[in-house]
Amino acid sequence: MYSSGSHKSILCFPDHLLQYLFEFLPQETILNVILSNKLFHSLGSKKLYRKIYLSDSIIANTSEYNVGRLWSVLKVSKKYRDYLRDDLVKKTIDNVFDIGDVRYGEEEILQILNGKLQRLISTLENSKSNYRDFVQEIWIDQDLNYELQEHLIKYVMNHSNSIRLIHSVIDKDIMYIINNGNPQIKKNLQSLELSPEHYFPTQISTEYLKSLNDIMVNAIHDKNRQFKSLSLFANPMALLNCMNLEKDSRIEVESLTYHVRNDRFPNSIRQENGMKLEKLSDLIDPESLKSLTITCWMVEESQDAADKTFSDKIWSGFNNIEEVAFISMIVDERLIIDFISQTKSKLRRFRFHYALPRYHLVDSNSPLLNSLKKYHGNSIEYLDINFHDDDYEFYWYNIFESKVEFNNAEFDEFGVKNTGCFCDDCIYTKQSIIKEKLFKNKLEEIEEQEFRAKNIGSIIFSKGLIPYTFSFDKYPSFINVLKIENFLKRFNALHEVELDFQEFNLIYQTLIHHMRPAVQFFISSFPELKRLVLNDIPFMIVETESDGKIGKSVFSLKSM
Amino acid sequence: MSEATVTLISSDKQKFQVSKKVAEKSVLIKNLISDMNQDDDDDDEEEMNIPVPNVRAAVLQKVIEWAEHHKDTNFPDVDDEDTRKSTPVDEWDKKFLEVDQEMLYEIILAANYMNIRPLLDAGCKIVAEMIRGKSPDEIRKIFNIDNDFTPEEEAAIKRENEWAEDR
Repeated sequence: MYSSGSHKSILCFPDHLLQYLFEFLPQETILNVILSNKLFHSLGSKKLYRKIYLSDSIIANTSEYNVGRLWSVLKVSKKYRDYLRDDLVKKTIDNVFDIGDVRYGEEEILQILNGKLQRLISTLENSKSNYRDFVQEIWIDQDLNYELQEHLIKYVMNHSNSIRLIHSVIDKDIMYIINNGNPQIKKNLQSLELSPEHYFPTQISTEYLKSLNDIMVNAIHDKNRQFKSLSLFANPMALLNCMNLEKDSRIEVESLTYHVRNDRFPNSIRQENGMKLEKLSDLIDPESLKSLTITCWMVEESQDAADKTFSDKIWSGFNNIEEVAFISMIVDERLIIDFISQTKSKLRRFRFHYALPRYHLVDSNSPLLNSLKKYHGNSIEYLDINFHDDDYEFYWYNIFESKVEFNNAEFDEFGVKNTGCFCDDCIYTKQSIIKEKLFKNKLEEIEEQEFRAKNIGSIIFSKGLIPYTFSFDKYPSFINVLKIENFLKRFNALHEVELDFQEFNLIYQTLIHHMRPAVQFFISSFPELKRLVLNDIPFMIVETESDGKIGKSVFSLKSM
Repeated sequence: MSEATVTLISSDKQKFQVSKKVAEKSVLIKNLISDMNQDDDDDDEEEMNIPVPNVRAAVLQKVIEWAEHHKDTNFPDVDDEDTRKSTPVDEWDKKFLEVDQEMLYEIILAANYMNIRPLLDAGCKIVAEMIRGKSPDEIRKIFNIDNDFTPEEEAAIKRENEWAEDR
């Protein structure tokens, strides 16, 4: 301890420093901070209202990397969730053989969250504290009440001087509300999102196309507006070439997102002086674009459309792209590889999320990984890639150290070493949970079918039991309320075992430990790698004194 | 060739000789050194004295200790605010910041003044940890601050922010 030569109190912090300090507080603490003192109220409220993420899911907690605490969300209390879970346990049906995705309690939870959304709106409208002028960012949710969300956006677009970004605008009514907002407010808005005419892909009407054209033209020509993000519901070339954009139109955006859908466009409304885009850089300043996200709505039906997004060299000239993300796509691998090899900038982030084809981990012959290594190996910091479902079989077998009779050699072809993990937790989990409880000490006698049916890793992924996020270091990670409890009850009933939540989590962690060779492969292949996501399982790459760089799993199931 | 050094002078006039590399963990000092080098036309290696008027010796000593330890650490991008705010405090920093509250506040103030973002973040995270899960009353006690709300004002704020509560 130090003797203090001064009597500093936190009140001698300048306001900006106190406000900065409050940025590090989670939502439940900031609520108490703003109740403690008038100064703390005025500074802490700015954090509470700045970034609002509307969602019907709960944020997954983690001490490893908690981007969730940057956002304020609507919450359902743990007490109520526990009540719903207990209710579920009482109602469990004996003859349940389906351990599928039952989202029990969803209706009750939505009702509570919509009530909270209503109260948020009322507070913004009525509070004398002017919280409305602290709101900078709002994320819209598809499952919460849309009328309430429209009301919120309408209010913000007419009264909030602070609003900068509105994300996930996939409803045309909300797009119109934003566009019809107060011009003085709209000039601050840095996002421009063009929504589809209907939720499902359809024939776009000429009238709708004209509306989109007006929105786009006004936005481009509003010299007061500076854009950060542009989101389109269709391939930009297909959409923008139907419009009547003027030839001198050009827009600077940092990030472009577009959705691959099978909408059909009417005849062009383009007139003689309208711009015909030869390449996307005719419209978007190639110097400004840093991030490109392409995401598919109907994966199976959209493959042709997905492939077209790479055609005609529309990306030529974009030499500052640092991040690309292909989400939920089936795409011809050669097109992606061409894109990777032709991108002149150094990619820092590459996301191939729920996309096909999938790869076997540590498959040194994977053309996609090879080209990533070749062209961007020294710059990739964030990598999100899906691996083949069969690989879960490998890791499940791997836990048993080749002692299972039907362990096969088919994985050898990928050059993966069968390296077990012998840490205390894994030894305990293998012996006391997996062998004794899950396989009831009859591991040597069981049928292969049963062995596979109890592959926890494969189940966790296929049933979506792990937190979901587009990008775990940028957006909060969410889990569906009650899903794991629900699943576990059914799993136990089906297999006549009694695994509790903690044991289930230990099996999950053991599987992750056995993925270590794959994680190490990525660490050694990409020396700047800081974050890695393998089939939705996120890892932080950290430096340790004893083992050098290792991948540290971000979530445990019990932390959710 | 010996390592270049500079002398930092605390508000209570104590001098600390440190390597330039360590001193430059502070963006303020780094910029000062750069300015002084530009102003200094001759190539003579003069002793560089840099006053740090807002920081007393005991605090400056701690800040230097931190900078010595982290002289080779590559911190995340300063511009990547989300990452800085989302990562946990480094274990060594956690131990290093096990000091009394006044010293902790002074280190934060010094880090803010000297523009040492990673130390400022670590200090803020420790304070955040101190009050995590605490009630308004407990927060007032920890920070030694008064409740200047009327009961009506307090009730109104509570009501207004119910939407964000975990219940």
